[in-house]
Amino acid sequence: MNNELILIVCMLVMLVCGVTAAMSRSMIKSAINLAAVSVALSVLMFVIGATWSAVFELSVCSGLVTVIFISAVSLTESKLDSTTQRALHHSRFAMLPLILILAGVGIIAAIVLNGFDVVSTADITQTEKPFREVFWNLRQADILGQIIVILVGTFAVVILFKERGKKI
Amino acid sequence: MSPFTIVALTAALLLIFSGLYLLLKTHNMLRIIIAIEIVMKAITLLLVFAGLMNGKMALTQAFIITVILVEVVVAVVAAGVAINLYRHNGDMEISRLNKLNG
Amino acid sequence: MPDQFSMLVYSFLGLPLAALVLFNLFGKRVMTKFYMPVGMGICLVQMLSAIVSLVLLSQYNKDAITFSQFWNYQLYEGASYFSPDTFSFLSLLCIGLVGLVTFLVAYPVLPDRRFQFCNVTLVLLLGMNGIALVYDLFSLYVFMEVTALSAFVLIALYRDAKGLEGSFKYLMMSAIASAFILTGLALIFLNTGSLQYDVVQAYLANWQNGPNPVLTQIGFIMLMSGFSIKAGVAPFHGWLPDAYQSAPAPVSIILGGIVTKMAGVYAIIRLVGEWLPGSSVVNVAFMFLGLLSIVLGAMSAIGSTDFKRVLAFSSISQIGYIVLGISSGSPLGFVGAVFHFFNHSVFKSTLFVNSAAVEMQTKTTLIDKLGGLHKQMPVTGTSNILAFLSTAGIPPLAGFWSKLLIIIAVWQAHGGVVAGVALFASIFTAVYFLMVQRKVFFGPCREEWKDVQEAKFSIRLASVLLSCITVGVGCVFPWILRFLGAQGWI
Repeated sequence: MNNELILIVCMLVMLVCGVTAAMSRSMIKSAINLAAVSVALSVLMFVIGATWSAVFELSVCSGLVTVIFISAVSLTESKLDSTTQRALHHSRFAMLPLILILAGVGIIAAIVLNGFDVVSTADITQTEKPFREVFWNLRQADILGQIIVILVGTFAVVILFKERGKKI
Repeated sequence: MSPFTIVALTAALLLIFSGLYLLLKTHNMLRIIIAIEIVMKAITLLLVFAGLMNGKMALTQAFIITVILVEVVVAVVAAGVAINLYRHNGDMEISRLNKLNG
Repeated sequence: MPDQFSMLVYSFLGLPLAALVLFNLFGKRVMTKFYMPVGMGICLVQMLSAIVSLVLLSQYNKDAITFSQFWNYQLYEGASYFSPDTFSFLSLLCIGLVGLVTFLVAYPVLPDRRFQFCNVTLVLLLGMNGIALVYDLFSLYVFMEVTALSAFVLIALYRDAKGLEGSFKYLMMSAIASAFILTGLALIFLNTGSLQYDVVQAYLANWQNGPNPVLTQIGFIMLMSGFSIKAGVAPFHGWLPDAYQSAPAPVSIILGGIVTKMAGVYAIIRLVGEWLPGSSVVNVAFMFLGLLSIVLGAMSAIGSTDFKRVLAFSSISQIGYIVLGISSGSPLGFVGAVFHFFNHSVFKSTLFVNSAAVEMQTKTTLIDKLGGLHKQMPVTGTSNILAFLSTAGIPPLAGFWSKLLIIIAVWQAHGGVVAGVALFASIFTAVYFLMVQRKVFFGPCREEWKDVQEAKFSIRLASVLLSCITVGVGCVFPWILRFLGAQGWI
């Protein structure tokens, strides 16, 4: 049961940090909160034993994505978030926590009142193959897809980020 | 009904909702990328939950790794497009994206 | 069927990948010179092997060519190997055709960006081939994402304000769609434990009695809305005209001709047409989506002042016909929808080729500025009117037959009113296309377009090739129908 408590805490941290990232006025704070969401998610994965995806989540999502954001923000910062803009942003999202709390209470009430339950469909008689085998043998189309996704990313960086001599 | 299930479903749904809300409401292009990332995190949580429920954690991990890769490349492309638009428009305001009509 | 034929599948993924490696190995200078033969060769080989595979399938009476794995030939249970069937090969044929035309048109239109264009287009072709080949919903998602990402990069190829704007709008909507699709996949995966097509199909056939029916329901709705956004079906179509209009001319051809159809409509045909043909709720929902797209697309096309935008709205309308055909739930409607899929990619790419020709010669696509181009550009004008007539469904041409099948199937399934609306909208299509044709090509020649030249040879070749296919398929269609009837598909 201790385990479950950790998981619930992780998910609550995810929720709070996610909403903070959505609402925060400064872009840097948003990016850091997003990284915190990733960290909480990867802790959750570590606890349930999904080590591989936890490592990826931690290194790629909370590392690389934050780097991308911060460099994008620093490339474009000059007039980006003027004070009026920030105030506007804040006013647009002032209602969000209220909506979320109401929606959350509604969802939980609906779940509890209807006695809705998620049935586990796990087949206990079968032991699952280890991750390495599943990934390299069962998901070959995905691996090919990943290679192609990386290719697109490379071409995108070449085309979109290359500095031109003159400004168009 | 374990509290874990309730919290997992609720947290994932609320995160997806707040991400989509941010995506549709914000006026800043970089915040749109943040919104996409928030939604993707929620979906990863949902995938983990699904893997726990059906006992195929290895398959789920393979899915999650692929999703992470895809979301990073989406973030890179989106940031590239947004930065180029910033060079044209001078700011990140989304309401300036109105040159196409007619 | 001999085992070696499963190697045919390599030509769809291996060749473009090898070409990409070669391209970047030899460097820009060398490959810019050879990009035409390489790109066209790849597309030609793809068309050829798709046709060979189709013939093989009907020869050996098989449903699909199952592809063994890339490495480790020991097949595991639940392995995600490729298993393309007739519909997959038909879409691979369309991809090859539209890719060929795109390369032909890009040669004169994009002289300065050939290298980058060719790289990203090859990745786009890889992504679409992957969509057609895979046998697993998650891999389908991955290749969809590849297709969408390379489409964003291609739209923003010139990094001009319009292209970037269209690209960003597409990116936003596509991100929402991906979120919906992945949520749906997660919820369905929770119940099935695998996302392979046959597992999901068997589960969906009897989902009410399976575990967690509520989650499945939510997941399926999410999945379908995600695919509808990617397909540009009516209430979710906001991004589509912008993306088509702002893209460079050859990119519009491949986007309008095949990309949105592979990224969205293909999955809708698979899921709804193949797996849930009897479900009345889904069918009625898609009937309304289809009707709304048909009517809304046609209405918006009348109001547009840009040639490419008219074509984009017409795409929405035609995709509405495909969805409507699927929603009939009968084999006849399915065949009609698949043929409309093929026909639409032929005539829509003809139209976009012609818009590219007009744009290249006059540097504008605004309808009000154009006028009387038929005398200067007779080939373009003639192929344009053929494609328009085919889109509107005028009898001898290919578009007529697929629309006829769809409308008959819809009449049988949903009654006369729906079929009447579809028929009426078809006439509407003819009206707005004739309006465009009259303004752009017919009428007195404007002063400023007196010395406009006919389009370059490769563009003319592309539009003549596509027009020949439109007319030819239309003429042999009765025999195709007889063949399908003999096979027992209708």
